[in-house]
Parts: sequence; structure tokens; C-alpha cells
Amino acid sequence: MGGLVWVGFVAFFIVALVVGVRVLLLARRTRELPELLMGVGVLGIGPVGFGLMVVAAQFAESSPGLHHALLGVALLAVSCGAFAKFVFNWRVYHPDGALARVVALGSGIALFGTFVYAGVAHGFVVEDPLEPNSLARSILQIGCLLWGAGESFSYWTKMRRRVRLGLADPVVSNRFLMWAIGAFAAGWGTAVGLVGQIVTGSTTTQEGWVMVSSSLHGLVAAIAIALAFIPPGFYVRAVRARAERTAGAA
Amino acid sequence: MADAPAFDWMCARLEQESSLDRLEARGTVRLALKSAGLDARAVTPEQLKVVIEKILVGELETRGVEDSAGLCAGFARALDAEAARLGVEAAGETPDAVFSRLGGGS
Repeated sequence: MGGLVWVGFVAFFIVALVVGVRVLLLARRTRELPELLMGVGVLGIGPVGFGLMVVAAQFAESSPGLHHALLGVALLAVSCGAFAKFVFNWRVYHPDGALARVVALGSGIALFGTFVYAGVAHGFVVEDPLEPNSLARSILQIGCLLWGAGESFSYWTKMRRRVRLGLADPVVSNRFLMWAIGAFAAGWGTAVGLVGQIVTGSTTTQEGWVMVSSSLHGLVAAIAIALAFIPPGFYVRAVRARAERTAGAA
Repeated sequence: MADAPAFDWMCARLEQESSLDRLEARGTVRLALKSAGLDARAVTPEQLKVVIEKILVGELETRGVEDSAGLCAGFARALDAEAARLGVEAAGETPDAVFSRLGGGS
């Protein structure tokens, strides 16, 4: 059971790593900002931020200096990743929206502030989730994911109508839905984990049900993100066939 | 962000050639675009042509506009002739263009 619980975390780690690197390579080719933001967002919050936190925990007692340094880099990666997702949501869905710009840039300042505070006040340690600085960073991290999920879902409802008229690619339309599910699962899973830590007063790894919940959300996010950005051929064919049936029935 | 040139063109034509006033014409075209999942600020002539042929006809019939089918066929023909001019200023990058690239252009 203990090993099975890690399946979701590992799946999320691998998928986010593959998708993040792939999208960053795409950004290098296209020189476009959205690709760069998506790549930094997926890698920063996922494999780099989460991965380094797991690695840092291994050195908590044997090498405190390395432990603090790794946690610092992990928090920087998470902060950059969350900021990239905020800017992605602003630039892609509301490039002319004043409110979206304020939220994105304000969140960036707040994330930078939580990072600096964590270093100055504590020297990068595993923070109490109830501590205001840690709480603020968690809420911002959840916020960027749920905002992105909401925007993507809303856009998918438009894309679905376009697909019926032959005005949009069903695979791209499905990508919006899968990204919405993936981002929602990641954001909601983080929120449940945070609430669990607050209620029980223990860390994610200490509380069994919180661990299972986070792993399951990670698994759902991994599957959805994989289907969005690296879909297997049979899935692409199924999406196209379904769109053709729907268009034929309309 | 301003409405797309194709949208403004469509509204003006509808106002000129039907019994609808300016507000009704713009509202009707907006509703047709919304039904198609499109945005007045980013619609292209090619998308608008599909909307005219598949949705606007029904919207005009619902509003009691006479000879909706003939009217829409005329709009579609006129749009073909104007497409090059109306497409020039179409909106920049849309979320679907971004997500299309993110999948490697699939």
C-alpha cells in the first residue's frame, strides 16, 4: 500500500518532466512567450520544485547546509513556476485585460516576497503550513492552477461549438479540456493537502489519507496532462472519430 | 480590444439590407457568433462565412426577417469578395493558436 501511494506522485513527476522539457524545446524553436511560460510553469511547480523538496528531505539531518540550499532552489522553482502560470493565464486568455494583468503581476510580487521572506526569516526550512508566508505561497500556487483550469474549461466550451461547425480542430479542443482537468486536479489536490495539513497539524507524508488524496490527484493530473500534450495515436484517432460522429449527427 | 473588421462589416450589411436597426443587427450577429463559440473581436472572414451559412439564417428567421436564406446567400458571396481586405486586421494570437502549437501543431 505504501509503495502504491507513490504511483501518483511518480506519474505526475515523469509526465510533468517530459511535457515541460518538450514545451521548452518548442519554445526554443518558436521563440514564443506562451510556450516558455507553460514550460517554466509545468517544470517549476512539478519536477523541479516538488522533486528538489523530496531530495532536500533526504539531507535534512546528514547535511543541513545542502538541505537548506536545495529547499531554497525548490522554493524559487515553485515561485517562478506559479508566476509563469499566472502570466500565461493573463497573456493567453486576457492579453488586454487590466484585471488579469494586475492579478498576474501582483501575484509575481507576492511570490517573490514569500521567497525572500522564507530565506531571510528562516534560512529556507520546511515551514509550518499555517505560517502566513507558507500559507500565502500555497494559496498563490493553488490560485494559478485553478485560474488556468477555469479559463481552459471556459475556452473548451467555445471550442466544442466550433468543432461542431468544422471551425476548430477536435484535438486542439480536447487539449483545452485535458489541460483544464490536469490543472484542476493539481490545484485541487494541493488545496486538499493544505487543508489536511492545517486540520491535522501534520505534514502530507505523515498523514495517510492526505498522502493518498495527493497521490490520486497527481495521477489524474498526470493522465490529463499527458493526453493534452503527448496524446497517444489511438487517443487522437478516437477524439477525431467522436468529433466526426457528432458533426454528422448535428 | 476592438471588434474584428469582419464583424463590423457583417453588422453594417445586415443593418442596411434588413429591417433590423443597428443595435438589433449587432446583437443578432453577436448571438450567432456566440452560438458558434466565436468572439466578435477575433472572428475571421472564413469563420464568419460558416456562421452566416449555418447559424445566421436561423437567427434571422427567428426574428421575422424576410427572405433570410436569400439575404444570407448574398452576404456569403459579398464576404468572399471582401475577405482579403477584412482578414488583414484580424486579431493576433488566439488561445487556440497557442494550444495548437503546444501540442506540436497536431
